[in-house]
Amino acid sequence: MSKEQARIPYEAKDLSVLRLAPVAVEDRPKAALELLGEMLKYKRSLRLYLDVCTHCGACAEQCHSYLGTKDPYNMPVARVELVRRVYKKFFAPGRSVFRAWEGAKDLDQETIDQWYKYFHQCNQCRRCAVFCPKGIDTAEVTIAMRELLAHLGLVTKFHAGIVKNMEKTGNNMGTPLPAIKDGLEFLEEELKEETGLDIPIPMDVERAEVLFNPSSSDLFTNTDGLMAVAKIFYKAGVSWTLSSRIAETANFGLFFHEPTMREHSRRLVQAGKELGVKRIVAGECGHGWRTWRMFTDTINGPLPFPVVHLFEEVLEYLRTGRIQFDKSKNPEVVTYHDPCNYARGGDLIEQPRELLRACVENFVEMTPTKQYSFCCGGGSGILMDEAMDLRVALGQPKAECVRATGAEILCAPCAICKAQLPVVMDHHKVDVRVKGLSDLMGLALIL
Amino acid sequence: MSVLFGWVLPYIVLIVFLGGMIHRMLVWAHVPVPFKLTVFPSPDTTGGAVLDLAKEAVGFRSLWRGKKSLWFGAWLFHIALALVLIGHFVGITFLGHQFTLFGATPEQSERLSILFGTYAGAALLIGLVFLTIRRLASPTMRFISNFADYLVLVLLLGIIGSGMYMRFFNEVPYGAVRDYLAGLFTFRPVLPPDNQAFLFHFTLVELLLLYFPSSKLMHACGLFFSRWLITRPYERQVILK
Repeated sequence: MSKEQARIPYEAKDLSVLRLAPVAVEDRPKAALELLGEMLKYKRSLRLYLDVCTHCGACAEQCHSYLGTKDPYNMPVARVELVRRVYKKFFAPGRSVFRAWEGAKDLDQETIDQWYKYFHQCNQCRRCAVFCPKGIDTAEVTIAMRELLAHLGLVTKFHAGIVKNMEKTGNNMGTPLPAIKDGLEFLEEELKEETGLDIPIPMDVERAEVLFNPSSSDLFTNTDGLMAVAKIFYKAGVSWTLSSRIAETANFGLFFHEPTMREHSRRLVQAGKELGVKRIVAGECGHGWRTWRMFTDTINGPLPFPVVHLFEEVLEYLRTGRIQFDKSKNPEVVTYHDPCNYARGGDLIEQPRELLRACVENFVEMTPTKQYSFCCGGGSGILMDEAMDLRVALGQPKAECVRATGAEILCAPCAICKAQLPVVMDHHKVDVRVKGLSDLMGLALIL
Repeated sequence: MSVLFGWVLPYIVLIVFLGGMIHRMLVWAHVPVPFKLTVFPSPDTTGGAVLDLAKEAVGFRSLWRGKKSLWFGAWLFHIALALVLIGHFVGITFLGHQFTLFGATPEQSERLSILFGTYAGAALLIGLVFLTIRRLASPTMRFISNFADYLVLVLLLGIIGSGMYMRFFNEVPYGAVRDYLAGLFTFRPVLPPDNQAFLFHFTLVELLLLYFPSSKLMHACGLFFSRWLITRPYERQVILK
């Protein structure tokens, strides 16, 4: 029943940036057990999820990874079972005979290989948590297991590279500051040419009202989005700034390494404090938003300012009449892709819809939608070129949803979705253009 | 045999069952939750979250969102199980005369008691058979099942089957059962009713309860812990109300 899916082949060799030392192959099982034992002591979610599953199978048909790959180990229940069987052997309470009945199994090198393979085929999209009667959120298990694998020295080259870029330059693309500044000047000229107005894209302005934290891809590849944001702030008359310390809202630490996640968040909070802003506004990025929204207060709080999302900020301007949109600038049929970490992960469901309805003429809902929406297949950093086969397989259920809407434009306001969806749509021959919500707002904005 | 299964085992079962269950819950409660894991949309208040949890526990709403057939089997089984457990408690305590409290004559009450008990038991059996067939019939389900999953089903089939057998073919007088259980609770044991079907039924229940705290059946308690993680309210920090 399974179509063989190649595991992501490239493991990072140099983990100095994560301050981790690789563990020798023969020592991995022992080290893994120690790490798992530690995690069970401070992650209630992990322990509960390993304890309360009844193998009812309600999650299987809801997981895009299983639907797209047909690999039985990609059913959320089977994926977590790879850990559960080890938990049953070494950590679960009760007589060993009882635990044997529940499939207790030793931890060997092969199991670690399976962990590496299958926990890199979970997008941490949390759709299973919506359909599981026990509320088991497989993303939590995937996050824990990727962290465990990182401590064994098993990190994908892509993830390690991103952390390194972030540490050196303050953005995931590894763009040095002078290049960013050049790029911003260029965008200001573009804005001048397009609108005839002097619309600034300021950097490091102290005591600005808003520190805007975009995805670094907005600086070079999705530049329409950043220009749109500049226009909106200009029109609303809000003083804003970027930071040279950190121009990245996507926090890859969330996917596999908690210290990296904390450090990234700390860096942004510090930048906000130094500039003395009133609030931080996060740009279009799904998991980045979840981290800011749900975790920042816990790991670096209490904060002197709120962290809000661009959509919440712009919606405030729209509702108070500080900006207006002209719908006729976006006459195409537009559908909306809910990034997992906006809808399920970050409480952004109605806000983007209210904005979309205000700035496009033909908005159609997708099925399933909102918190039931399928992941694009690139979530949790499965975005590397070397995993292209896997990416298009994981994106297959989403492609069918988009095809069914017949939309011309797919609005996907998340940096990862924006990188992943064009590839998926192209491969599955769905004729649609992928755009951010900012791009559409920028087109419709009445200056 | 009667002494072991009828007088000694019940106390061991009670200690293992209650002690094991409380122990498991204490372990869960003592592990910290480092991050807020709310899955949205979620309620804004604690009261709303508790209500959500209650709706889920009674209506199985997450299963309803998925495949309706699984919802049907699972919901039928669990609701019937709750009714049957209540029925056992009430029926044995009042010897079938509980409906006299609502104005029925003792004979009417006994007939009603039998009627409700039979329907609830039949529903329970239908739900269980459905879930068993579902697990056996599909290769996907067999892939994710292990010995313990089948064992629990077999135990439950034995318990419910023997219960229904007594209902239809070999009725045990409630009085004898009540005397026996009352004897256990007051530490003045009397002999269990001399009925093979009853002993079979009772022993299987004991075995199930012994296994309960070590098994996946703990989901009955764990459900509330694990769902709370994704249901609990989280205060917004936005400029919009």
